[in-house]
Amino acid sequence: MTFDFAIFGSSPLALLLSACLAGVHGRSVCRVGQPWSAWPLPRRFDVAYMVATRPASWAQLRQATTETTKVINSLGKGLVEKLDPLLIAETHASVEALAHLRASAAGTGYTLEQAADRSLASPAQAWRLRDIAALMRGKAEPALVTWGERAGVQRVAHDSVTLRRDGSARIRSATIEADATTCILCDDAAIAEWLDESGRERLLRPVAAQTIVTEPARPLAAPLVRYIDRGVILGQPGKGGGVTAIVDGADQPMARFGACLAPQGPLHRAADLVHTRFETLDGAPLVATARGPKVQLLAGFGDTAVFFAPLLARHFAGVSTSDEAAFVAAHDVGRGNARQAVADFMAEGL
Amino acid sequence: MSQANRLAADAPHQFGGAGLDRGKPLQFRLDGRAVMGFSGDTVLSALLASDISAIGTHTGVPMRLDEAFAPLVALRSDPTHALPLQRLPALDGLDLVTFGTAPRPQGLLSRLLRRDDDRSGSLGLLVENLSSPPWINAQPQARLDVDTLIVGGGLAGLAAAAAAKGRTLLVERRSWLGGDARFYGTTGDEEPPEASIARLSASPAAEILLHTEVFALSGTTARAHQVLLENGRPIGRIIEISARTVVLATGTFERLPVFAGNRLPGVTGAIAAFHRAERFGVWLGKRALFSTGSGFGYRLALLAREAGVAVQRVSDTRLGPNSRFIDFCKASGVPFTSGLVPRSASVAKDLSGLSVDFLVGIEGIAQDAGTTETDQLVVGGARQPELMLWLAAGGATRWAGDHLAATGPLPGIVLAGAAAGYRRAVACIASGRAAISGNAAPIDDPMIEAIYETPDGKPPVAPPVDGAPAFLDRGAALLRRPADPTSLLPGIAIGLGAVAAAVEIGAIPPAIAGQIAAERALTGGMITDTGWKLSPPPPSQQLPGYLTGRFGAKPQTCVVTSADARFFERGCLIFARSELTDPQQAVGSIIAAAPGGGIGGLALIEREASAGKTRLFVRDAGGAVPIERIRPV
Repeated sequence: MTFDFAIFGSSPLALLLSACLAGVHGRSVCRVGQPWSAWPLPRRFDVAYMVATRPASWAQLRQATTETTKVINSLGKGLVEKLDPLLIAETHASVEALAHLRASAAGTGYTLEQAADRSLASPAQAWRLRDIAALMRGKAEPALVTWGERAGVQRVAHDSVTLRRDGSARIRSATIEADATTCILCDDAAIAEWLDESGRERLLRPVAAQTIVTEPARPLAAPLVRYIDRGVILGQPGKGGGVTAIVDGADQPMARFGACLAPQGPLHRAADLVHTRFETLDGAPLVATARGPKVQLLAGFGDTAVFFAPLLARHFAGVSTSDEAAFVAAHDVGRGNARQAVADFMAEGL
Repeated sequence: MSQANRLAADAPHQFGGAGLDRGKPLQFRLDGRAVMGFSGDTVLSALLASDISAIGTHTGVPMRLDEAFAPLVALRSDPTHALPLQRLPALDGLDLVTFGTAPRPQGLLSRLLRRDDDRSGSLGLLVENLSSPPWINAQPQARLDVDTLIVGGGLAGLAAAAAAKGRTLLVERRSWLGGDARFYGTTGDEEPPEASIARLSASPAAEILLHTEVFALSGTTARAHQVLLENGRPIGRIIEISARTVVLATGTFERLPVFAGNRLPGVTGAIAAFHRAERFGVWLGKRALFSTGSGFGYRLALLAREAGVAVQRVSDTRLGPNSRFIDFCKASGVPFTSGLVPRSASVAKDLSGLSVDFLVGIEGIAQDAGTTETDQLVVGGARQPELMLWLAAGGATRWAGDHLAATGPLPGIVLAGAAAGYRRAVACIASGRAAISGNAAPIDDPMIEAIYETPDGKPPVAPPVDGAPAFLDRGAALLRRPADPTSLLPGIAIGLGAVAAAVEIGAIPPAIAGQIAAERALTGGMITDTGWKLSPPPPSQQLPGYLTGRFGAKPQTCVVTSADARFFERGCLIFARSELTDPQQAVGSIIAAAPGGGIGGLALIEREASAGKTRLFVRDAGGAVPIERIRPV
């Protein structure tokens, strides 16, 4: 038995990419990752906005989001909903980047409004993005798993897989003995587990990250608040629920998180996870073949990753539109490819 | 208040209370209510003896007061100084108030109004308002440096203490040594637990701190909270203990079986029930019903019966089990059944006790097996190694069939005894010694053959009952069984018991149970604003990387102005035609204010567009504004 694809990962991107390849493109797919459960902490928020300045990125995101929202919402009600994230820039560099972000996003059809925040000192600015699609954690993933299973996606445990140098894989477990022709590493945990440093693309850098959940707290200024320069994203899915923070960078993560929650007063820590994120050095997503085992690598999509799944599925199935093919080619690191054309903003010091 | 739940002083098997001095009665007050006790009681044991077995209510549901869930208290004269009720010795004349809750008014009307609470044996607190231990985030008041820190005074901890060299400190949260060894008793020709405890305690190698709980461990530095007497007055202090080696002999705890009403007053774990009786002579009510999945539940029933408790029945969750204790039950006339699991417990209609529904617990069959009224339902739960400190120090766990087991090494930290997975007393003692000697040789821990002693049953999980909550664990997390196992976990830290229960109910796949334990099983910690401030880098004069290639390979930097002398904001896009809005068609962008604070702005524009004669437009909030002048910089 041979699978066309082995998708490595447990993130919503891995779930949706597997399901799209199997369910839409008719490929045989196995997923190498954890069984889904609502209890593990998130490594990312799955929200369709980015701290990007280039018009092409926003245009591609808008198109991808529209399609993905339609795909996911066809699986059930309320799996993708809209929220208004708040972006806070506090340095000259990020305020400037935010100005370019606003122009690109607004020109692409997004609505942004400046928000008042008396706690911010000059030159800081806070901007609210309106009607941003967000995957509803806990509801959407089981629907994606179910769709994948119906389409024939088989989950295999990671210890039953051997990766080969040519980018294919051998799968041997009590129930399956198979090969996979193409392997795709979809999320940070998969990259960390399956590619050692020598096999990773040089453009990738590991970033220490921490997900922290607090006890129930007073409502935040928005369901998602991103402090660009502090490397902190706060999420509060229900008003008055616990705050989930994803803090990038190893330097004083708890202190940075605490500074963001100053108006709340002391809060109990309810859950905590230290993990590694892989970002690109130029701030743009990466679609490439790894340097070591010739597996396919997806990284740097940030919180938007899941919304690119249908586009990426078409790419791997070989049925991309010309625009999509150009998008993927621009984000590759192949010889002669000018990544400067897609390089984007990176907050300093994280 | 009378001590209605005290067993006879001369009850056999020391069920009169081995830790009590009945010749020294005492009386203290809690929230104004007088409570009787004896020297040797803790405040908790005296409350339970006085039939105060409820802490109050949680969302309207009565919640039991027990060793894992009790309010903090403080001296009325020093209400800011919290003390744990479980570790606080009962002292004559103490005047206590519950900590962090409003003091109970002492007026006549108030007392009349809460008479029902007092009669019902409840502290009358709203569980939602309880405070968490403030010492978790407080600074230490004492520091100790030792060669070896041993956490836990059970057989393994005592064996480690006896074998240790150099300065050794053993800390034990309870008021006695020996852990749960007395509950399990003797197997075969083993030394009786009392003899082992006496022998190992006699070795003078270690300093021992009782009433002391280690609540944090980072590397080999621990923080502990100790309750001690200073000038006859109880105080708490936080000790930071630095050690070269830490031996975690933290034992196991008994998991809470999952069924509706599992935290009602009157539902008690088997190990807690044993210690209450054996240490403090306390037994809730006159009648008791037992539910167990191991032989030890039968043993406790037999001991209780001989101490004067009316044992109504022992219900075994296993089908047709074998045990020497079952043979003893048969011989003693203790009724027992097998294959039954508790489905729900509820307050009896006449409020005099509990009403317990049982269910045939055979896979695929869910048949009612009748209702029994009782004063106390003693439920034996599965054993879970106590690994919270192991996790706090960065240790890992994995699901081992019916519990989370420690995995991998941690520098400077050694697990011993039941926490390391050993069951028999001899193995626990040997592992305590090995923790000190570093001897990695396998330790023999033989189990009795299944034909003689049926292995412990898997923890039963009863089906949900509408309107009656089943909790997943003991303790303060108050995590209820979710109606939908795929629902997200709220913002609460949970214990290992909840993680294990979540595996049993299907909310967590076994493969990720260890991961969830690492994420969720925290020993505390606060998120506070410590005054951190952002250190912004100085403004850069370089063109940001994200503008590279955006407007051609060699864009022109220019100052642009408009006829109406407006200031352009950074980010505004420049187009070759006024009707264009698509940012991808922009030929330039405002990148900064004009030099010297002049009107217009500094722009980055495609070289051809800036040099051409075509008029350009800056699109800002007001629409497309024609650029009057372009001056290259």
